[in-house]
Amino acid sequence: MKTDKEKKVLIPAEATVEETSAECVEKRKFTGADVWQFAKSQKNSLIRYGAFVLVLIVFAITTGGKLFSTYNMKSIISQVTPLLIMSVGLIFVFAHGGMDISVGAVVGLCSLLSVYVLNDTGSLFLVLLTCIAVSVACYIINGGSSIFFKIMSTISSLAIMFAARGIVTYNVSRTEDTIRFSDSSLVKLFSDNYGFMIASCVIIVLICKVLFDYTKLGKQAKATGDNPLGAAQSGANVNLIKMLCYVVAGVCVGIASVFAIARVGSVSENMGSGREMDVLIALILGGMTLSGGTRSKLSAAVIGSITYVLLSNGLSISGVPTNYISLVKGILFLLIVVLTLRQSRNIRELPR
Amino acid sequence: MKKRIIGIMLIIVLVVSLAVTVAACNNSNKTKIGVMLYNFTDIQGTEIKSYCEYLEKNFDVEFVYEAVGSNDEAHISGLQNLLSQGCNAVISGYDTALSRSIAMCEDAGAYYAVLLGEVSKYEYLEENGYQPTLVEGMDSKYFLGGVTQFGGDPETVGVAYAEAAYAAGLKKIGAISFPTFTFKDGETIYNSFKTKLAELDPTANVYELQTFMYTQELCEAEVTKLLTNHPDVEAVLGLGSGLDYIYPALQNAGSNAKLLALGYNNTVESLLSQGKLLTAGTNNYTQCVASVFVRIWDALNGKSFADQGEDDINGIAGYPIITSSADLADFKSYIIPSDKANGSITAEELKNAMVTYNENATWAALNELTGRTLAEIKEARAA
Repeated sequence: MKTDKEKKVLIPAEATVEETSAECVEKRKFTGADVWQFAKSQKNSLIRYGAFVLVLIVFAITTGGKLFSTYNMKSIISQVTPLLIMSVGLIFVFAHGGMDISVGAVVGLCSLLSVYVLNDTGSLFLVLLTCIAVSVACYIINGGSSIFFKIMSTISSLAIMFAARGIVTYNVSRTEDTIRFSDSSLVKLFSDNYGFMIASCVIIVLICKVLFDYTKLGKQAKATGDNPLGAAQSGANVNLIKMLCYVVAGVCVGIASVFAIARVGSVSENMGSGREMDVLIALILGGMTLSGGTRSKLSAAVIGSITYVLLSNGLSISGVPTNYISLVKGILFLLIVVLTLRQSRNIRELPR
Repeated sequence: MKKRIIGIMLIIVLVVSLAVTVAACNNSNKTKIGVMLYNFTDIQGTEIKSYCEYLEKNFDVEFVYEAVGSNDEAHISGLQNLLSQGCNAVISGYDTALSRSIAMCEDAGAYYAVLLGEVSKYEYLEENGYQPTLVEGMDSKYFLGGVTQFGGDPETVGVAYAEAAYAAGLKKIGAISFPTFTFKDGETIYNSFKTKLAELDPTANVYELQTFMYTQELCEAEVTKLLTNHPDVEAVLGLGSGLDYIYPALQNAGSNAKLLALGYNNTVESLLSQGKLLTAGTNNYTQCVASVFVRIWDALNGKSFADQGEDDINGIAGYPIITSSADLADFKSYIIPSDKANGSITAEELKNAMVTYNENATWAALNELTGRTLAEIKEARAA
């Protein structure tokens, strides 16, 4: 008698040894059932990319082509760039089972310092270095508290969030003048150069892709997300891996901060607020499981960020009343989450 | 079965979304003006939208709306979305990311104006020896300025509230506002209130101004602090959205202190009748919109006021104050009427204030029109 699990093995249970030979392969023809089986096995990817394509098609129609206007494409690029870079960095944190809700406040803090540094030195390079250094420092404190003091990562990032937001609010409250770049032309590379934005995204995604999928760091981070004890017993230095993941996230958030502040040009007490939710939503829309592990895919950050921005942008320029935009976004988000993140009972697996 | 249900739900949602977006899609050739606000669901948002709808009926214009919350980046995204829709002008609720917003509008060839706040053309920085320095973008021809609230004179609001406090015989009054860096007029109103009350009743005591940052929890903390330090407080001058934040906080703290509130919502009527609220007030939303709309319409038609100085970048909007049920009735009839033709500024009055329709229109006359008091509006409607 075959067990249920045995029936789900990739090789059809009815096949004889001979039939599994090359001759058998030749005999087989693609049928509708095969396509259906393939679609089922790739369900999450299909939903993820399907949602993206659907959003693209629907809004291309409803906006009467405005979605692809030069101006709107530039808008989308400038909206996607910081979100995508943050999401790509933070996927390392989520992959190892960590959580971060401080990203918005860290962006706020980096933005504040960017303005001070640029106004004092006029050096964009120093601005970039400062942002990366501050962001990495925040994430090292965040990760360190979580790893060495065994504080839940949510709580440690909450502490960073309050501290960073507090510094921003204090500085903003010290003056009645707006804290802004005295010469915003110095940051035009990050605010108006769309080629540079695309190139930055591509380079960062490629580097992170290599780190995430082809190096010990990414592989062990995912293994840690699945089972920290198992990963440690397999030789992974779990604490070091986690800390390196926070460093990668810090670097990405620092770079993203420069794009974010260049886009806005001034800092208020709310700078960056809500970014944590944007990143979470983008990752979930991209099919990322927030519990981390081997099911984490970098493509979730890329496709999720683009889908999220397209959704917001498309609904808005389609002329959907503002009161309904959140509702429509909420329903679509819920559906995609239900379809991609719920535990499938049909996952094919070998008998143990 | 579950999968089928989910699949069907997905299809329904997509079809409904498509239908909504297609239905909302509009390819008219009218002048398009974008309006960005924190939200369009409170009294301020709904009234602004309502007056814009009135303008749509009387001018060849279409308004599109974008709720941007209080986040700078969301503001920029919202502005980009509006410009992508082909807006010829954008009205922003506040001066969020102002320089960048002006630059973006300039690039897109769209005009930009601030609806609910004064903007300053110059800043006085320490590094420049506190000499006036032009804020980046403020000299752009695409920037049409802001609107000074409280009829251009916040001190008169403090005086009016002090007179109401004196009339009620209040002696011990606390004061809570938003931080000065976000609401400079709050401190001005507080100071004039304190000065006027001291004149009227030297025995009255106005406690020090407390501030909080825009959340109910922080407001409750300030109210608790006030009640702890001054348990005998008789009233609170609620400058930080008194009805939305401070009154609920007083209720939660079990205090019977009366309220002198900046702000208006639908609880005013019952609170006034119960004697819990002594004063309420709010910006005249119609006047705010009218002030910027005139400037936008004229600019779009290549017109401008001959008497408007280079530094005259802020219009004026009045601040009607409610201290009695009669005031409230007038407020409802003339400030927030359902038919805006009976309200603060009619389309005819507006056209008369525009150079496009009236060559003799002046900046001074526009400010006079948009700065009218409730009594003056009532008189104008009666004529």
